[in-house]
Amino acid sequence: MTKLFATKQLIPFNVIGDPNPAATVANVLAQVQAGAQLIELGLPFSDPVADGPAVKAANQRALRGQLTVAQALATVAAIRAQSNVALVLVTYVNIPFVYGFDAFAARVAALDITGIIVPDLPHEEAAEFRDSLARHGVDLLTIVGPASPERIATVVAPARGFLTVSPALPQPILGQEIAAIRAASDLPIVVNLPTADTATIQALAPLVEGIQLTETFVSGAAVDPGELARPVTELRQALQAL
Amino acid sequence: MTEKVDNRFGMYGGQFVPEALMPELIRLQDAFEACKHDDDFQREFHRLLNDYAGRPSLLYYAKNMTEDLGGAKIYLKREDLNHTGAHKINNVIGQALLAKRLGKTRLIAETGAGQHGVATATIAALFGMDCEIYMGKQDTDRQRLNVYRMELLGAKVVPVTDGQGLLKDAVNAALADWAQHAADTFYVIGSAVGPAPYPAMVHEFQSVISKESRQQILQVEGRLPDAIVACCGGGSNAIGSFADYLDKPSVKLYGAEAAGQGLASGKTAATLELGSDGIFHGMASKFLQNQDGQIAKVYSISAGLDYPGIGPEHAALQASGRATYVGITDEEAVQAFEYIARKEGIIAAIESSHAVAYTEKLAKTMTPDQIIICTLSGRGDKDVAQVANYRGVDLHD
Repeated sequence: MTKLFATKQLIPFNVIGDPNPAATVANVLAQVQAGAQLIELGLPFSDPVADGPAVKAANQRALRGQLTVAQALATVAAIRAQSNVALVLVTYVNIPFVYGFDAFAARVAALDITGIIVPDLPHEEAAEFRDSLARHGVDLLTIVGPASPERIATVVAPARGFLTVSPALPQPILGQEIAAIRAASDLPIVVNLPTADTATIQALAPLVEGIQLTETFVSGAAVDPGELARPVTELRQALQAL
Repeated sequence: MTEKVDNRFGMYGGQFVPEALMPELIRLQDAFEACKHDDDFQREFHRLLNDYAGRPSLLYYAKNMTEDLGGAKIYLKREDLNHTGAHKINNVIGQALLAKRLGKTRLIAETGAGQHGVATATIAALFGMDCEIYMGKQDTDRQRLNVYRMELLGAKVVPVTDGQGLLKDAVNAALADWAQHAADTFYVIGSAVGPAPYPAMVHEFQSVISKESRQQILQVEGRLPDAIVACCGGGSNAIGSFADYLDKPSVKLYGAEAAGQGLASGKTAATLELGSDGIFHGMASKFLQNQDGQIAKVYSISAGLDYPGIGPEHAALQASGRATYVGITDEEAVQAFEYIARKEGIIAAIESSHAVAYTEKLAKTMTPDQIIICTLSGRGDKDVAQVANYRGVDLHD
């Protein structure tokens, strides 16, 4: 993963099955075509409490067609069959818990998933799933929260892969927080934004190794995949311009 | 920071929230642990319970029901007589005092039937705090009277249209608000659910119900009861009714949950009978969910019981066999609503009527020398229109 971050990464987020599995495959392949080297895939959940309205609606669209976890993972397999792009899975904890942490870890390892982000699994509760994933060579990625400097050292201690700062606070607090994280960890740092223009990306570029965009590539409507993926190229250039 | 507190009830409980909320939960946990042994806090809490909420609540011998059913002696723990008409105020006073200690100026809450929302709006008015209540759109429609009560008290009521527009969706919206505004906002959770320390806090503040009933029954009968019955949605009045008897195995504990149109109907909220282990709303517990872990839709005539989860302590009490949970259908609850009105002259909440329905069944299997305490968690004025509607009576003619 560290090698991947030798260049700064623009990381698109997609909800699997929004609005259908075929669209997800086409969108992700178009994002790869547009230059993305790391892509996040969200497993749809009935109650995505940590997400904003756009992503919540994407989850609902995906589940409206009765998409099962097995079908969602088969969609990841379909992407994997056509591309070796690095993939990170985002899921609420109940999905792997009900699947069985170890069985889930084995399944995602077989799909060559690099890491997993679980928004509702804080450090204090993470050990069991982290161990299951580690046995199968998959990283449980760590989210570092805002304005909690007293927790940074604890939270990053077991971290692997890369760190996500979420939600991203405005400067100068974000800059101070990132400096504090750097002091505690050598891992690449990625910030999470709903959307961003080139000016925002350029302002953040000196601070981080990557930017996740959670809403830019969520559309739901039947949009041409190439059109939907187009911001990848432009924003990636902005990120890497320095 | 205080020493690490055990967050679990057996295998249930925990703190499954986004990292952004963890610092706030840790501060809350520390404040809660400190308040348990703080004389000033305890004095103020009990002063408000007594002088403002009207405690202790009565333990009333239901002579007519007892004679009619011909079994065990039935006592009713009258939480419906508290200020605001339900047990909810006990917990709200405790949590709002903690909020003040933590320097918060705004209270938010979820509400199903509206009882917890009314209690929160009431204490916010008393303490001069801002207040916003999240309530599912379906619930704002079927509990319009309570919506207006909250507005009268100065709260803003936000109808939640996501999902089914029910209690679960109101909790989602309140959690989202809290994650954004934790700096000045305290989330007053009304049920014995959510991330630690909420289930333990609700247990602590609601345990006044069983502390009183134990003293009261010893005074009148000179012995402990044989059974406690309480209704159970998320489980706040049930855990408060059970708390002081947990270490007395001779006292059987029963929770009446909402079976809706029946356990096999698919239109139900009987989490403990039909649910499976999961992690949601900050806690490991039992949930109504599909085989993938997607949270299921729920149904009950009662807006206070139609929640797809259950407090983690109840899941643990069921697993250990200490408490038993039974489903009561809409029809059985409505019959009990009518029965207790005619027999005892008490209009009980439709939620509490689930407990009354089970008490009727249980009493008949027991003998006259045995004792049941049934908690009436709230009063039923708010439900009159809906029960009339259920019986085909149009009150708007």
